Amino acid sequence: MRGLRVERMARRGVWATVLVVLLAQVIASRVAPAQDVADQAAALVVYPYVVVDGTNGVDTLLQLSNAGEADVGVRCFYENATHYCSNNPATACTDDTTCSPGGVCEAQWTAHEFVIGLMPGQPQAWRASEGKIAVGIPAVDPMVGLLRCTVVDIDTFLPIAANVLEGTALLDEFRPEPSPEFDTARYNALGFRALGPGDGDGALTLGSEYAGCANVVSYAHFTAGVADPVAPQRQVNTRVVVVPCSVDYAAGLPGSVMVHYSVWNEFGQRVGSSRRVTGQDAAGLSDVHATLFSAATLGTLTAKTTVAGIEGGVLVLGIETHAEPDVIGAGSAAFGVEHRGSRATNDLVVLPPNL
Amino acid sequence: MGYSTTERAGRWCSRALAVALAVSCITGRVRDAAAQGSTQQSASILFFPTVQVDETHDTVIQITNASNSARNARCVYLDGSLTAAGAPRCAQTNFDLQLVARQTALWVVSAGQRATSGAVVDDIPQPLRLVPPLAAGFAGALVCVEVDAAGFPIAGNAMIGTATLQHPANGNVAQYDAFGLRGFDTNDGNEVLCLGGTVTAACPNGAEYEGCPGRWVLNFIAEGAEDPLAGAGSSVQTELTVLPCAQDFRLSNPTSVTVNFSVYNEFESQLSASTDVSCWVTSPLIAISDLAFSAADLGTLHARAVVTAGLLDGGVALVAREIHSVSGAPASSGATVPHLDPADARADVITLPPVR
Repeated sequence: MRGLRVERMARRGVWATVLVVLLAQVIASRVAPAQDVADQAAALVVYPYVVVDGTNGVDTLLQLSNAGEADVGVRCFYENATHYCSNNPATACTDDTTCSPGGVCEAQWTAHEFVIGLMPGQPQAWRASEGKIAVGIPAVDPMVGLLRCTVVDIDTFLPIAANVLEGTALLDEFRPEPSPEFDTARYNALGFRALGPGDGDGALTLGSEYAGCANVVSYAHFTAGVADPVAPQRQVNTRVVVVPCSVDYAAGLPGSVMVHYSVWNEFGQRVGSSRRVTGQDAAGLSDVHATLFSAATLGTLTAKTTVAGIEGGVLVLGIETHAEPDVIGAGSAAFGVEHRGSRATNDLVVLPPNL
Repeated sequence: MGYSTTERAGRWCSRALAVALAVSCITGRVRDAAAQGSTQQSASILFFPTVQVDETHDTVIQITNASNSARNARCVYLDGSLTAAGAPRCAQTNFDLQLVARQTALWVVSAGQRATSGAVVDDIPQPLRLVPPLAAGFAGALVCVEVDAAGFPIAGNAMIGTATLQHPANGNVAQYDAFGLRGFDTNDGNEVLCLGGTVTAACPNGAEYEGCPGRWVLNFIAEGAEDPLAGAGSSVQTELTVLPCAQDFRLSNPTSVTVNFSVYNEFESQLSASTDVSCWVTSPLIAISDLAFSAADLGTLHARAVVTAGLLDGGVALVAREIHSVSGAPASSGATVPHLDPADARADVITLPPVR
């Protein structure tokens, strides 16, 4: 009897060990990084920076492709966060000085939906200023904002878990006079891969149904206004575009997140600041904080900045501009950021009812 | 043939543990096979597929230590330029890199960087760093591998980087993120780095790093098309760089791969092309095939190319650089790493020179 009891106990103990090992494997696979990606096809893609200024030769060329083997529908939302003057609501502005005396340059936020279909392997592309009226893509001008697109069933227009959307954007600026000046920067849209079959409703949960936003994003950059090491007559400035991961299109509410910046110089010394972002924030480092990012403060040519949303996740895109002061013409380049850790809480993209 | 209770218990233990280990190995292998690198996460191997120094280009390299402790790396410049006979040089220049916690190392490739030990700035000692300058005419890649203080590879996953291609005179800049492979705790610390794959004679522990992608997707503007904003007199060209992930830095033997292209226009019509790569190549798409990539043949402004390494070949790292010209003169450019297919990770080996 004692021998049988030993055998039973041994069996139980070993199988318990087996269960623990298998459970650990499952948990390990669950906690593996599942964050937004810029280099894979996904079910929800975000173009964090779309800018159109027809009067100054600024446009964005958007490209969206279906990497899958079936027809899909795509519901897209432009979020236009263009600033307008308080004393002249028809005048777009970049800061108070671009408004007539007494005017304040105020942020606005509106969302516009359009729906398109994509055949297997099909790339679709359009200039944001012109849209593509034949397939239902509206024109936008002026615009400083972003675009989010999610894959839906071609018949029911309900969200589906198909990681098939690839997005790229070209920020294009061209001035023909006095001599032709080009400035282009290309980036890949950020994608959220569907993690499971999903519930098909209009609330897209980032962090469970879809990959989540990173807990912290970080990027290396030149400190504000330093001389270009290749061409010292130029200054290097960085614009940081920050977009809340959450948005409620059904209620017409932009995402709003307190964002914390931590800046490390080359010697590992840290300074920090916070700033609320509603809808979108596309600001130069010196506009994010007047002194924090400067070479004079940090004492080094480069720095590393981490960005963390407090109440929700954020998406970040960097645009580095090399230009001579007071000379027209610049060279710009967009760059991605490092994503670290998963957020403890989910973010939510709420679609309006399907009409 | 009866077994004692102790023997039976032992056999149960053996079977159960065998099942657990098998499942564990299988899930681990699936994870390894599916992993294929990223531009957005800190990693243990960084590929900068295109680095150029000539009259119209210089390159700025930034490598950041994302960790809270000092890290080391061994870096290799791979010269992909051609000899007079048309063969790739595939010569290497290597150097060591030290980074304090959260530090970004930045250097201009033509100038290199020299930070001597004992230098002090604001009472803080400067780290030792010696990056050799490269002469004009260099066209190739940079590969950096995280190592311990003694120079042996480790899976620290602390590095992330960017490269900026700059025109020294006209201000044209194009920036791309380095492609990184994360290391696993299977790393045995020797000079044979096993990317993806299973257990082999060269890789007794199986994969030590994520595998490189064998399939990429490039969304591009058709070759020779007008810039949509500038219109008549302008044109757009895309230059594709292909760097095989397998590298023999010990013997400087060039790695060869075949790269196949399936190109789809906006109406889903398909064209195809193929090219052989030895060591490294950067080429306008139109030079790979004047039929598969041109605006005239595609008939649409945009297209999508599925880029696949040969079935028996290893993985590749890609960078695409889009050049916008006015009246034939390059005026602006932008660079990106194309989208990768997470389902196609290949097995490759990188061999480092010995630590001396």
